[in-house]
Amino acid sequence: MINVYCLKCDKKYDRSFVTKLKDSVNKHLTKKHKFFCVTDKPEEKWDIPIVRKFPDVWNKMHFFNYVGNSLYFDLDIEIHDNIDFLAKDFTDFTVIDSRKWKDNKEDLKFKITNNTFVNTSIMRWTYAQDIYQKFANNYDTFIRLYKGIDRFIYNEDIAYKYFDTDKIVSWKDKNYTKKVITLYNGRYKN
Amino acid sequence: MADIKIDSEFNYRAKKVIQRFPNRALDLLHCFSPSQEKSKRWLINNLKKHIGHNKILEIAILGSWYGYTAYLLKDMLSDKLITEIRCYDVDDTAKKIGRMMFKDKTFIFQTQDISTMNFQEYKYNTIINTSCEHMSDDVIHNWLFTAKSKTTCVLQSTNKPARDHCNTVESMKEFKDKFVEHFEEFSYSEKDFGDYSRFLLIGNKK
Repeated sequence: MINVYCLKCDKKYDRSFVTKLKDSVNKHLTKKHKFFCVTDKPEEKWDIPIVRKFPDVWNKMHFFNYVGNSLYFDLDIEIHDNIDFLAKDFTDFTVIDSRKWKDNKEDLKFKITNNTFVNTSIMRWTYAQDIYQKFANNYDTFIRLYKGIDRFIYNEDIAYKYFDTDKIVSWKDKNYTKKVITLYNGRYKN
Repeated sequence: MADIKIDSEFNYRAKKVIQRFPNRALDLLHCFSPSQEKSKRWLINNLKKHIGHNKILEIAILGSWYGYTAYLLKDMLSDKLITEIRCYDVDDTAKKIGRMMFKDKTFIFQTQDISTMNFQEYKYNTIINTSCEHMSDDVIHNWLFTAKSKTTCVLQSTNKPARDHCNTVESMKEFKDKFVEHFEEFSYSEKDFGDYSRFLLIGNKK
């Protein structure tokens, strides 16, 4: 059984984004799964009320407390075709490699500005409580140093793997054409 | 370029730190920024008045970051005998950077979460916390509650909003009212930094 999670807090995305994601996952993930939405406004039976402990931009950290075969999706993605390839191997904590659609390279400026090639719009894990614990033990420092979870994971020696696929694309990619999953990072504003 | 003075030793050590911890470069500059210096010199000037003729100081700094407060204490309290300045921070990298920046044997950097410490077990006569806006009231009360009687306790906070400030206060009165119960004698002061204020409370533990 795979647990599929998303996060809906505040007003950035309305409820239709959750419904659309849920329908897409049900349609395109043929492996047995359950869908959950962690939210500050529970309405449906698949909703889980959020326990806020850190500033909002860090809400995704709480997912690492969930154990078992897990997939996480941001709400600003579109799924166009079968995504069983995401659910093959849950051994390692896995994220998206954003190098192919970023112009900058890992030079000194990249390092000192705590930039990142990790994209957590989609994540896969079975056990990642060590990541949560590392963050929670010193969250004051990490909140000061990093603008968000992608930078924290990239710069703090967290063990991760990238999804080995070309089926995930960003709408910001120069050669963007819709593939299996499209990420719309930065398209929707607060 | 005659108007600026660059301390080459500081630069040399900062460069070493940035080479080893490039993701801390901006944070290092922030730690040693003019506003940080102004805030800490103001604190130490007030501390000087408070401790008066007390000659021997054994100091703990809670949330010490990269050790700038320790450096300024040693510099500005040169007429005192400082036996130790113990720099506690929950961030292990802060300890490593502090050790790289300062070779002074009086400074002892230690990775420590202060929330569960019992200060009865330590012999500090001065405990400084310039990071109250980063800590919950419970953590601060635990420190003040367990500090030995007569210990000089120094608290600094601010009303400045920032993403890592989880416990700002609106006014000097709010700050004082929260913690004054722990002190038999105390002084307090407020300093305007333009967009925000910093608040300082110094007291002797009951």
